[in-house]
Amino acid sequence: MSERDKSEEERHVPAQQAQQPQPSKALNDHIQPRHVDSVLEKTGKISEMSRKDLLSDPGGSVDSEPENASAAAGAALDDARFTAGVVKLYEALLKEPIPEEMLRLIDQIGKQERA
Amino acid sequence: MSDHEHANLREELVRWIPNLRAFALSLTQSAQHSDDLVQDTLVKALSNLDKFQQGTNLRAWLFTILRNSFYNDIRYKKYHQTAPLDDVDPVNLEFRATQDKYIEFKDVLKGLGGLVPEQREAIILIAAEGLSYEEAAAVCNCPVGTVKSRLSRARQRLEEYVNGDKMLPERVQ
Repeated sequence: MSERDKSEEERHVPAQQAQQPQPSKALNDHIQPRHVDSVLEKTGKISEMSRKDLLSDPGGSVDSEPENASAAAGAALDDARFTAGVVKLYEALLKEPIPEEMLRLIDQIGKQERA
Repeated sequence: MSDHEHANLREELVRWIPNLRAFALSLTQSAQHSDDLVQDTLVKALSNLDKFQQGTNLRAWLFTILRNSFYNDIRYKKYHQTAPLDDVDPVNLEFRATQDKYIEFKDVLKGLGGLVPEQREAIILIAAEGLSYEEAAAVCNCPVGTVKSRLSRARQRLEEYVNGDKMLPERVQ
């Protein structure tokens, strides 16, 4: 599968598959807020979650798996949640207005070039 | 390059400023330093627009300039020892606007702050910016395998952080 396989981004990634962050398309048009939101909705604040919370997730079959498999699933969930958090933070940063001084700077350099 | 092409590139450059600021903030962990870095990047980019190859990736080009400036700053600081490299110390996280604004991201910020810049940039470029490994490697001027291993180490450290394992902030080497 290609690293940038878009179909991969558009579906919910099961925890086990989420170990490798799937590159989202670049953010301006690309973040999939619904996906990110849905991940965060399920997770809440990661540091407030207990290990047990992290392991008892979705699917519900984790409890019956060997301990190492549960740990792997938990790690995958951790990673997916953190990656979602990073993406969401980045999305918030992108929404910040461009400082006026930067726009002035660009304008000024453009005028100097034309002069 | 014609005036028209220059104008188009400037317009496109403005569109990438939010991404540059977000990338810079993730690298520097300092609002002041990040905006200085972006301004420096804009000046360098605008002064060298003729060197940009039309049809190639402007965002990657801008990110490369920004990244090089960042590491040059770090090398300069390290060499001259004019100030401690505390911009990347998670204890000194200083995000723009108010802390409250990003309070919901406290965990993420703290986790990112525990990574070395090379690991932070791997996460940001690939997970947030959506660059391919190849594009990220081009921006970072390193082999694809290096990007993958940085990403892997970053994920490992974040996992330790999330699981509450002891995490000692790494310093810039």
